[in-house]
Amino acid sequence: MNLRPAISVPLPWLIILFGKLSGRKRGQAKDFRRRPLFRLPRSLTITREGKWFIAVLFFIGIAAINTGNNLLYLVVATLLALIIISGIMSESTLRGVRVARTLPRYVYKGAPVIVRLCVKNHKKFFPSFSFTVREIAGGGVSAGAAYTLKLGPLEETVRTSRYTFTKRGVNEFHGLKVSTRFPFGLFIKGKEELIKDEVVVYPAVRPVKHSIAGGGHPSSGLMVHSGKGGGTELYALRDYTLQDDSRYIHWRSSARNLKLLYKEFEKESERKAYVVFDNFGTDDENAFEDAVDEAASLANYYIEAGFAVGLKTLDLEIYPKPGPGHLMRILHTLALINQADVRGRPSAKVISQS
Amino acid sequence: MSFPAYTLVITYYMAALGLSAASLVESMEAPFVVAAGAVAAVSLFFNLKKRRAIPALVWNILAAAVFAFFVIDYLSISESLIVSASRFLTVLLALKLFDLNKTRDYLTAYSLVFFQILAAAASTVSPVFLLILSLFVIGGIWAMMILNMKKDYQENSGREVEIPTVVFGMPFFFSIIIISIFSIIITFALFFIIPRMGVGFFERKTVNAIKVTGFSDQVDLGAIGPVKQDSTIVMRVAVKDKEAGKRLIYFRGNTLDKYDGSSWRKTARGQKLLRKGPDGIFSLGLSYGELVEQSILLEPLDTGVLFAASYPVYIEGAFPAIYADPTGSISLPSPPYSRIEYKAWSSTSPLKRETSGPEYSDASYLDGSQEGRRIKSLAYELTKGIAGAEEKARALEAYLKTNFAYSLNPKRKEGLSPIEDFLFDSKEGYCEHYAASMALMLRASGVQSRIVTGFIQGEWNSLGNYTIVRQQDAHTWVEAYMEGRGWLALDPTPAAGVTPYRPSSLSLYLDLMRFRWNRYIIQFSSSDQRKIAQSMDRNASGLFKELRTRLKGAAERIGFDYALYLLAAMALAAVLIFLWQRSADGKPVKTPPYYLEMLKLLRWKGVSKRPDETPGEFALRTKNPMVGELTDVYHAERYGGKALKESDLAAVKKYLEELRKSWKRASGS
Repeated sequence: MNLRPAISVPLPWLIILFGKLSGRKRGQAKDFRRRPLFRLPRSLTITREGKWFIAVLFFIGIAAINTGNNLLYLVVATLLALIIISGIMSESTLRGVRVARTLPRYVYKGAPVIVRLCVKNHKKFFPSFSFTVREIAGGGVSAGAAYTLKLGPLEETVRTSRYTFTKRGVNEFHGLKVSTRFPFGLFIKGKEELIKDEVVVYPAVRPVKHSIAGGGHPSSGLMVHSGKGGGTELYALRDYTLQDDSRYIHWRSSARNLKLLYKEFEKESERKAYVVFDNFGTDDENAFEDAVDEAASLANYYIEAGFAVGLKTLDLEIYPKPGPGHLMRILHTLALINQADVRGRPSAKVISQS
Repeated sequence: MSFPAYTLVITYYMAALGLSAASLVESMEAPFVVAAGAVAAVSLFFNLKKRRAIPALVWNILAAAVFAFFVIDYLSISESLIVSASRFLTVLLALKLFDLNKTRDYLTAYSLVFFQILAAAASTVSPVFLLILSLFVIGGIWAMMILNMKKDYQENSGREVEIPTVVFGMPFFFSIIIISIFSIIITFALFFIIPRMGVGFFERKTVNAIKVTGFSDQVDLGAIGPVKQDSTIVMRVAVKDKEAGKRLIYFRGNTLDKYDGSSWRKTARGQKLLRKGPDGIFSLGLSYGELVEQSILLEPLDTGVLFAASYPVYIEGAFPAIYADPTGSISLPSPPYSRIEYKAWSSTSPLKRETSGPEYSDASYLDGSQEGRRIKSLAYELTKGIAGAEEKARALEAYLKTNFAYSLNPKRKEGLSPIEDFLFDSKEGYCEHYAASMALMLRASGVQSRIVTGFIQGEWNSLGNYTIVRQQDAHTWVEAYMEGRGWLALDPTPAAGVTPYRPSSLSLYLDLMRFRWNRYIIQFSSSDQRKIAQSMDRNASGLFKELRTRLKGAAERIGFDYALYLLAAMALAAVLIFLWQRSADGKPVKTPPYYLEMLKLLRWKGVSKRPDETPGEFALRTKNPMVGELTDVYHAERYGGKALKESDLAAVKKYLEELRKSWKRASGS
């Protein structure tokens, strides 16, 4: 129920104030660059050493009160001062540190990828010591931490981190957390950099066990070529004639041979294959995902074998085409596919035509 | 320098501090500390030569043996938990220095040093403790930082990887010094802020109380003589009035009234237990004449007597009750055996208005002995023809001052009592002889008299405006009763005598440091905190009053009675602007906010974009032209790299408004 009209009519100034406080102007979309106002800017966790430290501080404090011994009060004050210093120095390390994430273009489920994290210290005078950058935990991805020992003032560095996605589909990133135990290892202080991003995780592509009829496995070197035609793959070079399109002169070979040579292309593959993926609805999530992976693996296998591959599901159809670009389209579709409303047993198979 | 060498330097630096702290513990023998230091030096050689590590089993057996020794030490040797614990920690530290392999070993060594410092804190009052603590702060910060960084580095890079020491260069070290200084400043600020409870249930008692003589209820003649060459400080007396402080001469201790030939005793009655008044001050009697305020820091003595300039009228201190007698002597119920601080207000009048008693005219010894008869005869000779009591007293005082020599080791003739020998044979002695002789001769002349033991003069420390009173300043003088007026103080001891102890300027400066340390750190109490708070409150009140006056003036000038409200409104606006600014981070996002806003709006209406749908497919499905327009803008910006202009943003705003309205129309709301 939308309460905004009810509030805005009698008390328009209240909604304006509310919008200001929540970081939104009237009529403007929520700006994800703005951090929620009342969220704590830093997180703080006490380490095991920190707990011991506080326990010792507590007991010395009790002893000081019991004895009235001012030197024990001095020791208590020293320990408290160290806690304050720890807070100031850890804040100094985190402040001004900005991170940016660069994701790889293609990401597959279960396959670790290297993500580049660009870390910059915007402080003019103070370095940052001993901090880690880590993806804010979310479902579907496990990411390692990137550690930096020292980052000088206005310095920038690139760190890499291994990400592994466990779920296909659109994976959203909320942000990165910069945390440090500096200086004394008593507390872990962290700050979150809200950097939203998303990546489409393709299904896992696994080796397919069966071989193609009449063609062999793509790696066997026994692929059948289809002859020259209007395709895109180079078939052969011949002498140029005046009837030929000058756009297809192979200039490098022409220069080498001191005569104009013309590129002939292979005929488009007449071998076609349809990956038929029955995306029936089922309670067994794992079975569905296995079928998606199977479909992706089959598509990959046949594309590599030179087939023009199409995709058929219960909801849609993609017409066969060859080439890696078309494979990406199929994988993208499989990454985002959902279970159909019809219940059944999901499966993937190939129907090939030569 | 490699990292292991780096940590080795820090570890031995900390170990040196630990041994220094151990040496501060009371009753810790110097040979023990020196032996531990020698063992530590051997361990340094061991570590530099990279000998094989001590097996864990051997280390555990040694630790168990040391613990057993600690128990024996506590139960039967030192019988002090602090001393035995300190020895235990010292031995453990010395052994641990042979077993430095992992980070945990270094941390254990540093922890042992910390507990040694803690033991010293529980035992010592020496200002050297502050130096050790400050150096420990530097070393502790240094050690914790590098070990923590090493741990983080190895956790993230692999266990065997050595941390690059280029990070820990001179700039790093200097920054640690600055951080340590800052930490020490914060330490002192917190020290003065942390509330004191005003009571300590298990207060530290020293075992090294100064033995003072002459302040019990019976003093043998000759008891004070030996301490006249002892320069041990007994107390420090700070006086607000500098000139009065320089004039203060006599610090009253005890009064004695009966002589038996070899000792003086106190027989006068009238001692009462006094409690504090509502203002927290003990009142000793009528106040007369100008009062001088003294702050007295008394060293741990083996007597409960409280000293103050003659004659004390008020006393203020952290004790629940004191004993006071009509003569002006004050004492605690028992010796405190710790350093105490108290305030006294003393009258500067030469006469103490107090009634007398029969004990002060007791001349039974004079009547019953040959010595007494000789003394009576001498007194008669000296006061023949003098009528008044004061004149008689002055005559006797002058006689003793001019006819006798001062000596701390007077010649003694066999067969004569000390006073007889002093008056009739050797004619030399020190304050006890002079005072006792005069008191006896006064009684022989019919004047009531008594002797007073205490301290005289002291040494003025101009650096701190206080008087240092030492054992050698112990003194005895006489009080004679003047009928109708009171007790008159007289001192027959001549000024010339043994050259007093005169320390150097450096020594005076060091004593000033010790005094300040004792006063503002060791003796810092809740009453000091109250005074600081009251002072700050007074200053703040003055400041606010001034501010209020100026603001009121400004408000009157501009003719606007609500100037303060305006100020408050401006402050609130500043807070809101600050919060607004803080929430903006300016980080770029891929999905433009207006597209997300559109999706959210449609979600409210029950239309959600499926994950497998492209934005274009979704727009087609909704069949809403505004969604189509917004999607086109989104495509252009996100995938076409087009930067939106103001006009585009205005159009987006318009599309969102239209979408909102069109949906309302469609839903009939």
